[in-house]
Amino acid sequence: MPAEVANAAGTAKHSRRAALDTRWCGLTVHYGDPQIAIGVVFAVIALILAASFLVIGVQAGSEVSVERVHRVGYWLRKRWLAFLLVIGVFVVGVSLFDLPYATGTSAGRTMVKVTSGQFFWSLVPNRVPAGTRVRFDVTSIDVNHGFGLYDPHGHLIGSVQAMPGYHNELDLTLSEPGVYRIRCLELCGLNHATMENTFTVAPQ
Amino acid sequence: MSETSADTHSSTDGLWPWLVGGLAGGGIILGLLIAAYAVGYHRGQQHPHRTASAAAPTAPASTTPTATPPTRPAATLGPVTATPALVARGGTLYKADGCAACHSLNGSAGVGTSFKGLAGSRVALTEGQTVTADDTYLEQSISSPDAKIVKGYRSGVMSAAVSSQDLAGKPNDIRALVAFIKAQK
Amino acid sequence: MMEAAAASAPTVLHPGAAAFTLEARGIERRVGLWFGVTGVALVAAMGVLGLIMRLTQATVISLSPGWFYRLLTLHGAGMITGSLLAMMGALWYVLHASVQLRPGRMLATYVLTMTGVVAVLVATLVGGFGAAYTFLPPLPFYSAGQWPVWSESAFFVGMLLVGAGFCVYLVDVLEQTTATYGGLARTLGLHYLRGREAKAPPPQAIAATVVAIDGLISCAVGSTILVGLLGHTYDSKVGFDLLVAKNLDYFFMHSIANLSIYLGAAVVYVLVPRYAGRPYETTKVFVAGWMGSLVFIATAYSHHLYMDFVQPTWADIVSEIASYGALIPVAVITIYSMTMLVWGSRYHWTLASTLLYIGFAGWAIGGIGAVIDSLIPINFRLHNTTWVVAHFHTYLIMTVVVWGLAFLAHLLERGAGRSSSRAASAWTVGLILVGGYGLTGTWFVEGVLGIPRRYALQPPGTSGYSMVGAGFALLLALGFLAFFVQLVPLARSAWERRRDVFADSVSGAGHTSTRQLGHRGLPLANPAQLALGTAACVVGLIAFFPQVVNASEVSNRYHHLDHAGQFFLGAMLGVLLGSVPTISRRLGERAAVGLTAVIAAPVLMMLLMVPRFYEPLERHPFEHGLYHLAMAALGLVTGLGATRLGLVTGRLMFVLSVGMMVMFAAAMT
Repeated sequence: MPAEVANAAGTAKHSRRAALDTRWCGLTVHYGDPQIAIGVVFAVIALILAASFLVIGVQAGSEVSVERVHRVGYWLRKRWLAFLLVIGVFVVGVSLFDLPYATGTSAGRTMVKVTSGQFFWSLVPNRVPAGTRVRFDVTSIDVNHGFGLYDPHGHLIGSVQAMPGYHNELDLTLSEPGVYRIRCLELCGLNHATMENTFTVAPQ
Repeated sequence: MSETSADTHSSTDGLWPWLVGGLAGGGIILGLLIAAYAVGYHRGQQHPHRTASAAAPTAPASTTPTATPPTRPAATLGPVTATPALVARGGTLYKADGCAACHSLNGSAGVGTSFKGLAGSRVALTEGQTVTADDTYLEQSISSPDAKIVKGYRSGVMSAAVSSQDLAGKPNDIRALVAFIKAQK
Repeated sequence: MMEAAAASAPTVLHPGAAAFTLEARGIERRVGLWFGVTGVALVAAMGVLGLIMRLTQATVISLSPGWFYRLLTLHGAGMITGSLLAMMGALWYVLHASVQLRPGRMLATYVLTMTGVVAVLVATLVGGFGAAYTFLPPLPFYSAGQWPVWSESAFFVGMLLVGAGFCVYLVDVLEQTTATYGGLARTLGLHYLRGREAKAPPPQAIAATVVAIDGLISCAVGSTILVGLLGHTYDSKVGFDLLVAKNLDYFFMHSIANLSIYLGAAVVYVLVPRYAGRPYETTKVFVAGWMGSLVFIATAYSHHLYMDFVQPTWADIVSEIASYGALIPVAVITIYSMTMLVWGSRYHWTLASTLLYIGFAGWAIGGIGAVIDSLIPINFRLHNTTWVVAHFHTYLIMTVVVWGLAFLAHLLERGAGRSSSRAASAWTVGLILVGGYGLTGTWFVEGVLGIPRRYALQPPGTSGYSMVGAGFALLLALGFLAFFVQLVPLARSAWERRRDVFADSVSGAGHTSTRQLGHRGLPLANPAQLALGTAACVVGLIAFFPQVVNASEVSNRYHHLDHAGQFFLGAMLGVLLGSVPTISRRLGERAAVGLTAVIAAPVLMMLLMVPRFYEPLERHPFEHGLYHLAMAALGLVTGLGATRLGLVTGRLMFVLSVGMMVMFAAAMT
């Protein structure tokens, strides 16, 4: 959403800096960008599909012999299947290297206890210095909530579910100072849309 | 998968050997299971081990909304003298321990009561009685939050939120917080 | 046969279609109309609710959050039900020509579903239930003062009834397809795939069978969680493990929504060729693809739990693979070969056939949105934003609903012997396309920006997007209106011709459903299987051994597992007895009674496991013993009932009913 959460004074110049310092295959991934890139990729694919349906629809009105349809169609289908399989295996395989699930001990990490309920977020501590490796321990005291963390520019970093009776752990390193916003991302009742809180990352 | 073998026209006579065979086979398997149980039981008698709770699935919390974690009985700390240093420490804890998330200082009710003017005032509890929010009450509210709930608020909320802080085991922290609350006129 | 077909085929269908198009008989048209009209009407009404919600989010209308969430709940439940009704009716219409489906069962489905709809309406509009149609526990029980307990019960009962209606339908489909084509392997085309047979069942039969199997599994899962939650509304001492409950909930809801599209696929396999003038036949690739779908539809649901980090990671990975796997048959077989059929066919463009065609685009585009979100790292960033709303509305509106409209248009075009004018059809389709893709496109954009879903109040500064979305929703509504306007003159003409159109024509040739069906078999089909069943019963006695019962007392879940064992004993015994030929003959055909038993007995058993019922009995050993015997007795009734459903369906229902008890034990604490 538009940057309705203003950044703390003095750090606006680093507005493009990553909230997370994820290094992945040598690239630094900036948050806020992944969603836009995803959206663009999707839009391109959707337009290509729409165009294909349009073209086929237009050509549906004319006559093409059954033999030609089968010849072209089956020839293309083999390659289409191969293409989909390759893309699918590649994409799924790559995704398995970037799972958000916390692993390892909490040694060296600052534990932030996140407790949610109808209709509040409690974060203890609610302030960390920039660059701290944080482990969010997220739970709920009543229904399922969704811990949605937005960076100071209003970009969604990611989310994790808050389940009563369970603790979900999310490891993040927040390098960009500012006021982060938490929104609820799982329908939890009447005030689901207004259940917010903030989390501060103090400049070093 | 053949579907027509046992059709409605065949008689049941030819089935008896099969049924008896099935009974026998089932009986053998059942017997083996009983024998295995008996052996295991016998072994267990010889080697005393932990109770059956080891076998029970550790089912995480049920859904009862008012499931409160066990709290230690409130140690009576006695009246608290609110020195400036203690108040300052209480203020630090007020933010660090997350009290600020639910208890305002300006009188507005949040998830919890506001601290403004709380100390010494009369509070109505959910059970119906009205008590004075003296030092003992404030201390108990921190160490055993569900012991007394102010009318209009929910039990279980604070106890869950502070469950990790073990405030009941930190009497000095409780004193500091009480001092801080008393300073909110 | 040909003469009757020729009367309406040339004017409405492709000229080449006369060679393979069967003229629908009166019963098929009646069922199709009843279900199609009810389904589409329900969808349209729910669409109005959707428009109201979008306008609320745009702050054009002011609606309290309490009402917003009531409407949201009703909208979801009603849309799923309406789409299912339309697709069930359409599938019946196209399948009945080759498979002898039973109108009586269809009536039962209709009554059950509509009663369920009424219950959900009352629960939401009168009671105020607002936990969304996914009723994710424990939200239904934490209303924050918004709805009373009875509305929770009413909602669960309503969903149970809708599920029961779907179950009755699917049992009929599965029973009759397997009886028509001779066993499960042949019906799925496996013998044909392996070259043991020259011919395979028609595409719609294979698709219907796969949907029936996965659908029945979903209904079993759904009824388990719904009955468990219903028990909680009666006795709040009923506890459940929230993670298991979440798994069951999402399995049910994901599968039901997903299956509505696959039901539609079965329908378009028959309808599209009629406008393309080229027949569509089963191929080996087709069979293999649907076997893949059978597996992937049932294993993909855990993608709803990616952000529950406590869900075992292997389950997430399996569902990620399954979600991608599910894409392959759809992209490579259904959508691809249907468009291949259409290409260069001199496709006969009418209102119905155009709507059929554009439906493929909805599935394709929505599917891409879905598989993108099915990647766990991407889901981390898009989970529960409006991206989710966007992708499922894309294939639910732009495919399932559009195909429902297409089916209605097809019925009335055939009845009237003509279609509406080119211009009118173009306007209708154009409005639906622009409105529909605009509505969903806006949601995709909002999702990219991180705007959460299910927000009655949009984050500050973002209501503009809702305004745009509402505008497109209005266009979509106009498209719907234009569609209904087209239907009116068609309906009038069809009504005038009704004597020709609704008569049950005698044309027997081509309609295979009049042929005699052989005895459909018994679950334990030969002496060896009967022997195995006997052995299983004997082993099942272990559930009654005092040592086992005492050992199970360590926790509620193990104790419920013991109950499941007692149920298994009874059910196995029931299946065994019912499969013995002399006893089976005594029991008689009684398929409907058997089906009722199979649906009702497990539900009753689960309801009995409520503390308020059994706690008083615990002090009296004799009554307690009787209680446990009653569980076995309910199992016996279930097993006997299952044997009335034939070999394939009987086995499936037996396994599912025991599975329900095991799932219940896993979920309830």
